[in-house]
Amino acid sequence: MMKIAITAENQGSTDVVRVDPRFGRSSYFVIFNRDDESIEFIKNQGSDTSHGAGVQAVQTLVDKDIEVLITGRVGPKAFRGLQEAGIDIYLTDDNTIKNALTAFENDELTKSGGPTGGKHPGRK
Amino acid sequence: MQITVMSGKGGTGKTTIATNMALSLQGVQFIDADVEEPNSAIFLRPELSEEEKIVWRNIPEIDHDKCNRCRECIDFCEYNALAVLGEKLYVYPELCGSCGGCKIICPEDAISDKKRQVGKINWGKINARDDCDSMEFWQGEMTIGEASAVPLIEELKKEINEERTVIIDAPPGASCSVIESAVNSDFILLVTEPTPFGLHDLKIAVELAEKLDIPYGVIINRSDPEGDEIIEDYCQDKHIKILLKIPFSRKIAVLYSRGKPFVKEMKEWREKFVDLMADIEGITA
Repeated sequence: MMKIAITAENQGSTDVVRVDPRFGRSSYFVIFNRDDESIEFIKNQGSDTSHGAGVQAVQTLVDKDIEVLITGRVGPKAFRGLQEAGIDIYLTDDNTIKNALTAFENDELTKSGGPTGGKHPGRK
Repeated sequence: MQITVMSGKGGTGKTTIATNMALSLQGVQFIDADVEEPNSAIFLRPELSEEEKIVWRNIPEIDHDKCNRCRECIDFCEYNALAVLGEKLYVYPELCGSCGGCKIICPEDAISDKKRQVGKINWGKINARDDCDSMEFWQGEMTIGEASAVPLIEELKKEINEERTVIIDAPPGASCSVIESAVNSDFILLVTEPTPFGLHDLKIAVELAEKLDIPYGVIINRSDPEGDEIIEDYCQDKHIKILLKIPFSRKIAVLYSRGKPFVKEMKEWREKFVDLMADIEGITA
């Protein structure tokens, strides 16, 4: 079994809804189950929390047995958590959910090796 | 007498007012509570003692043999500082608010306290004038990356010497760290500037002073006869007293840029701060 989570701007058809570039404050998560090709939208309960949205989002994915995350960017705290939980991160920008999934299946997405922006966000 | 110098907007002149006022009065204890960027020392140049006090707060430490990952602590934590990742309960110390609730709620008694450095406190003396006794100086400096300045300001305020005229330089804004700085003060000086930004943030600061139920008055910094109206109209409307205006002057700006308190070069201003203090005493009496 392999489950993939993609951050989504809203609910709806996967060829219309776009990937939310934010991880912790993403509006929805789309859970794609590779085994039965089922798709489920879940609302991100932590999208407007005042503290630790990223950590809460990691917990949500862990509880859903997610193995792969596709999103726009991941902050340092969320990255640490995803790494601890063994969830692989793939980055995409400006894409629909469907295109992002296809790109992932075709091995076209970059696997993230660190928090987006690097360890020194202020440096080029 | 305890006076907190506050402003909604950053960069309006809290530190300028607080330091120049402190240098104009006798028997002052200066507390720099702007712990994220304590820079009143640039103007006051205290001789700091070599000792310093490290301030700690508690964060949870998990006994992984006892923890059965029941998640009661995770559900309780308002700061989202705990998560079960893989087979382990994981702590995010930088998110933790140090409320201690997880330790109380844990049914397995698997959580204990661990210390984490919030910041440090330094102190010293300032012998700025021959005709004055020396000023007591205290400042807090927060550890980079800490989420809340409150525990550090709380510790800093334990050093308050009530025998003295205490001047507290507060952080900007109107959040918890400002409240912690101002609470228990006898008076709040609200520093503002005659701009829409100054007015906007002054209104927020006034609301806070009202909620704290502490008497307050306004100082207009970078005052300009042609622009002060924006603040004056508001203050008149709300019956708020404007206690002092510091002019928008090149001389003051140049001194500031060199880290020099303007009362040192413009001695006539000492009298104005002495008068200001008398006004404050009149209001609080």
